[in-house]
This record gives sequence, structure tokens and C-alpha cells, in this order.
Amino acid sequence: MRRSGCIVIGIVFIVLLIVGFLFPVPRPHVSLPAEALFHPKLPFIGEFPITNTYIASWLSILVLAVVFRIGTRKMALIPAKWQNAVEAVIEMLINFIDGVAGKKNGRRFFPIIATIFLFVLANAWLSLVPGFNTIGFGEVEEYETGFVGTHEGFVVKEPLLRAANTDINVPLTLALMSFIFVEYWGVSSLGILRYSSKFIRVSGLFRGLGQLFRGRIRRAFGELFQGAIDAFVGVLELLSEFIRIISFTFRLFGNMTAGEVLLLMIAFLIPWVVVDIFYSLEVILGLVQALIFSGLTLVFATVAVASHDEEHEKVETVSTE
Amino acid sequence: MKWWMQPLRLMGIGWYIAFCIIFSLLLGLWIDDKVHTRPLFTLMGLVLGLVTAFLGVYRMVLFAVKDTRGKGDD
Repeated sequence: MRRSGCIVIGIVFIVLLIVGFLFPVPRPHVSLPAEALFHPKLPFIGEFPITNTYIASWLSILVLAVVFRIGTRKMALIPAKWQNAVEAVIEMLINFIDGVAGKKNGRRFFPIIATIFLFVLANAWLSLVPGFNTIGFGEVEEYETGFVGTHEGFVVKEPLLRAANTDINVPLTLALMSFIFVEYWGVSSLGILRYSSKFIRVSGLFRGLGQLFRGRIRRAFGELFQGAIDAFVGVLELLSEFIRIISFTFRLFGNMTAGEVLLLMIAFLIPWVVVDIFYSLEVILGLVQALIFSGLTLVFATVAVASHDEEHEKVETVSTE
Repeated sequence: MKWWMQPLRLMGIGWYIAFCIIFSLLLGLWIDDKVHTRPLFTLMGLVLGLVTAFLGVYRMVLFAVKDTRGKGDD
């Protein structure tokens, strides 16, 4: 970089630092549950608290809908600006999904995986828009600052918008949805009997019992032992299927909440300057989390759809090569 | 199967270990509270949880190792 460029950047940094000290940021009020802003009374349901994360998630749905509506309003063979962008995103997702699951299954998985990816991404990136966490209900009071003692000003107690991924209910909903669809795809492509034979493996036990009734004691015990281990492995498989919900939920929730708290704390400690670095980090992190959530769902769906024997055969052929 | 699929599948392994141990330990504590035999079922739950966690992790890792073995050459 040229010297004049360095000097300009240095001056901008110093000015921003001075401005940051003139208008210090209050210590952020971190609360894990989302703040309920309104409590409207609905018929049949009763009180329905509307949280700031709820509003933010509707906002990201709205943004997605508007972007894709604009992109597909005037469909042309040679796409214009918006259509081009939207098509690029969709094409990237289709290639990603088809590459993992194959053409036939890829088209079945596409709507759910793409929805998860876009929703998580929209939630993560929208939360970086200025206005999130900073506009809301609060009061004028004297507050503590990072460096310059106390300062009087407006303190936001309940922000109007907060990243939807930082409310544990949103990751939990997505995780449950991914779980349900993975099981549904597995059952619908293998049939309920073949799919459940992945988890309920009692054929070895029954074979052992059969040997026992025929009076071959030694073989029977061998078979029974093998069968018990096999049944236990099935239980393990079932267990890991359910634990997936928890790991999905807490991975997204933890990463997003940690990022949010990090940004707020850095903005409180050193306003304006250092927070920019973490901001760009958060942009990447949002993309990575969206990719991981949708990619994991895709991988588990692909595994669930593959029949048990196929998977074993493949492993055998690989290991004997 | 893409190369990144197996490592991605192993991402939930930590939760698996934690959940197995804690859940069976709590189950043992609960049973002990019901039948007043502390620490019998607690210890049994702990051992069961450890065994379950170990075997499950062994199985998952074995799958990944088998699946990627021999693919590093090409």
C-alpha cells in the first residue's frame, strides 16, 4: 500500500477513536432469553408474547420473499441484474446438493435444505445491519463506560430487533424440522420396515433363541452374544439420531449468541475501530454456520436414504481394495 | 460421498459423549432417589453411560476410518 493511503487510514482510525470516546457506548445488557416487547391478548391462545427475535425472524422472511419476488418477477432468458443474482444463489445450492445426494434425491432434498440455508444466512447477516440491538425501548440514565467514567444518555434496555438465531427456539425449531424431514425421507425411500431395521436389530437374538431350542447350546450362546451386541449397536444408532437435535440446536445458538455478545462487548470496550474486524469475521461466521446446518442435514439425509446393506457393502469393498 | 462428509458427520460427537454420560448418570440418581439404594444405581448408570459413550464413539469413528481408508492414494 502507498504511504498516503496508510496515512489516510491512520487518520480515520484516530478520528473514529476520538468520536468513540466522545460518545461512549453503555455496557451492553446481555440476556439469553429474548426480550418480550408486546403482550397482545389473542382469542383462543391467550397472551402471546411478541419477542424481538420473533420480529427479526419475520423480517428476514420478508427480506427473502421480497428479494426472490423481485428476482423472479420478470423472468427473461437472458437474466437481468436481480434475476441473475437469485439464479446464481439457487444454482450454487442445487450444485451443492446434487453433488452430495445425487440428481434424484437432490431434487427431493432441495426445498428443505435451501430453505434452512437461506433462513439461517438471512438471520445471521440481517443481524449485522445497523439498527439491530441498538434501536429499542429504554430510558435516559447515567451509565458506566469503558474508559471515560460515567456518562449520561439514552440506554436501550429492550432492543426492537435482535438476531433471530440468538433465540434458542429458532435453532431448536430448525433442528426439529431437519430431524423430522431426515426421518421422513429415510422412511419414504426405504419403507418403514427396512428403515427401522437400522435401529431395531433383534434378528441375531432370535437366531440365537432358535439355536437354543434346537439344543445347540454352545452355538446358541455365541449367537445370543453377537445378537445382544448388535441390538445394543442399534440402540446406539437410535440414540445418536436424537442427540443430533441437541447438537444442531446448541451449535447454531451458541455460535450466533457468542458472536453477538462479542460484537457488543468489543463495541463497548473500544468503540468504532476494533469492532470492524470482528464484524467481517461475523459475516464469514454466518455463512459458515448456514453451510454447516444445511450441509449436515444434507449429509444425514443422504445417509438415511442409503440402505443399510449398501452402506456396509461399500465399506467392505473399500476395506478389501 | 464427498471428502468433507465424514468429518462433518463427526461434528456431533462431543454432544454424544456428554449426553450419554450425563443422562445415564441422572437416570441412576433418579432411580436411587426412588428406591433409596444410593450409590448403587448411580454407579451403574455412570458405568453404563461411559460404556455407551465409548462404544458409540468407537462405532462412529470406525465408520469414518473405514470409509476414508484407501482413498488417500488417488
